Amino acid sequence: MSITIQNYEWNLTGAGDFIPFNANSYPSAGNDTSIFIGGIGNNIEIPPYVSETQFVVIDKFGSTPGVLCQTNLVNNLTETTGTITSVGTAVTGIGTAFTNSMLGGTITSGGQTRNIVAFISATSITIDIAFAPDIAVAAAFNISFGVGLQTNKARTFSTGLVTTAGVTVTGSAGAAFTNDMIGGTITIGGVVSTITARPTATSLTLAVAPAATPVPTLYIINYTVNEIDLTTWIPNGFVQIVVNTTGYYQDPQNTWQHGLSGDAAPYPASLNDVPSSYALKPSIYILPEQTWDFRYTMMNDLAGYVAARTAYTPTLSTTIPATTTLAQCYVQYYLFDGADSLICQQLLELGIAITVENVEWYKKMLLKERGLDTDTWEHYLQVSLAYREREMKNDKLYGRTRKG
Amino acid sequence: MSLRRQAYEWRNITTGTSIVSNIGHPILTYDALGVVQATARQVLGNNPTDIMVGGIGNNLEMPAANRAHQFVVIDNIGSFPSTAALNIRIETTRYFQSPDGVPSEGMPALAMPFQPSTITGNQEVIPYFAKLMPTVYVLPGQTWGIEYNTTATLNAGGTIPLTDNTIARAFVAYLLIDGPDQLIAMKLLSQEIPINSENIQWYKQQLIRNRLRADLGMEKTLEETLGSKDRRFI
Repeated sequence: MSITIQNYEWNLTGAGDFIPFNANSYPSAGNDTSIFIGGIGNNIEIPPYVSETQFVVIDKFGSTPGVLCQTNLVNNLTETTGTITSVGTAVTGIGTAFTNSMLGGTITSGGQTRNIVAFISATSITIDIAFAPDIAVAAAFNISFGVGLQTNKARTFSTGLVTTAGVTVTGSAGAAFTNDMIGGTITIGGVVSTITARPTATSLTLAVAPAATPVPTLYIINYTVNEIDLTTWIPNGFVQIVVNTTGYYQDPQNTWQHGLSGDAAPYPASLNDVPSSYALKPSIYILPEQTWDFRYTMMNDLAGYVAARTAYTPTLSTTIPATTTLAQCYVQYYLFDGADSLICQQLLELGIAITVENVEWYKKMLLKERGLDTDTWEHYLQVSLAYREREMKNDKLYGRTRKG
Repeated sequence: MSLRRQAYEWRNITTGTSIVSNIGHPILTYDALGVVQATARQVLGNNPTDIMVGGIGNNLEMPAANRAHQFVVIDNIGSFPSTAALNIRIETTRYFQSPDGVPSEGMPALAMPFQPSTITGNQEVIPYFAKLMPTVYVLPGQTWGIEYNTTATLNAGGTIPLTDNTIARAFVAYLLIDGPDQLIAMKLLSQEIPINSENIQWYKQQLIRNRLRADLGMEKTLEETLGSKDRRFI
């Protein structure tokens, strides 16, 4: 017998900054995913199920707000070193330090902003539309960029064993050498050598031949990779509540819809969202032996963006750090258990809204009906005291005495 | 038999070349440079656009229409940007009208906003009304819609939206009363009692109470009937 307020928060975060992007690790755009058992983000082991001794009232919920993630893809990184001139869409830098990571960013000069569509060198980039007019005299500029955050990451690899013959290193089963390892070092028997080539996934070429090691031996490769970390993302998400197999939200033409957007019911809410546009009134009741679910649909195509980014710069793989929150969903509900669940069903039959206050009120009514409430007990106590006082007076008047 | 809190949201964004998306909100894709592959479609100034079947942005395939067993109570609307306003249309009648009786632009976005979460600075608006009061009823069998009006043309010629602040949007929340509850709503309507979830629950309680009284009355009648019978002696 209990009434508790419960909540569940679903967080969709990156798989980790050392794990290449895998589309199966994230919801595909347009397809709903259970926040409880969808297999993505934090999950529970079984679908939410209201047992025969329970009653659930869903009180409120919310999800990550926002529609476009374009502005969030562009981080607040800026570059202003040097000056530029332009001829058509070709921009030439003087004392600049343009980098490949500025691709997709914008360059502003003389009050005009253009998109950077190609990186050529530290002093040369290409923009989508020519400045009008061309910048003939060297001028200051501001580049805003950061589609994710391009970083060099140190990595190690030591799976399996290797043998060497001349400058060739051959890996045993388990070795899966990658092109990223070129330029890195391999340490075999305490001797460090530089890797100059990767002919196959199981062989490497070194700059200088180490001592021959015909017997398979341990090794460690130290190398760096250059990747894009997606540090922010807006999901453009919607939440649908499902009870058994029925969707709570339907559009005005009476068909299934994705549900409520994060803009209408945001989580977390900001000062802009007070009062919120949507309030779940009346609440949703989940009866005993019913299952319920929250289905989240992301309408911004994350996998599509990463694929486009990878195709654009094949040498740069995209990863999503675990610190990047892609989407969140929150649900708050009341759980009535035991006898309180029975009271909920009684209130339901009587057409009384099921709230904590009404369940408590009903319990008081039951106690009153059975004479167990405090007022009734006080009444009988007073009656008992008055009876005892009257008996004592009678004893005195009639000279009766009591023993003991 | 149900009372459900529903909502519909409209944005003037579509993908591809079509200016309307009849499958609801479109999936937004991004190119390698992070630019959204979608267009914020032009919304002409002083030209009412139905947010459900107006042919711009996400739309339905048919107008909103109540079935015979449905009753709708519209109690919250909101729009964006600040030049926008919403009018409610039931059948061919506009709800908001000017003092001279002519349909007006409707409830301004500055009075009942539906702002993007990204909005900042002096563009933030505190709602003048938290809800429509009194609410607007749409009876069984009636069609309804929400018309989006803007005093200035938005996204002229169609533009690539750069931020959420450049997207026109509208929102409507309503109570969908279905099944037997709809019959109660009609009963409340005939008695001029406000139709909301609390009053429908209250009416159900009254029904139960009246039923109990009726049962008591039947018992009394039974006693009287038995009392008038001749006694049988065995």
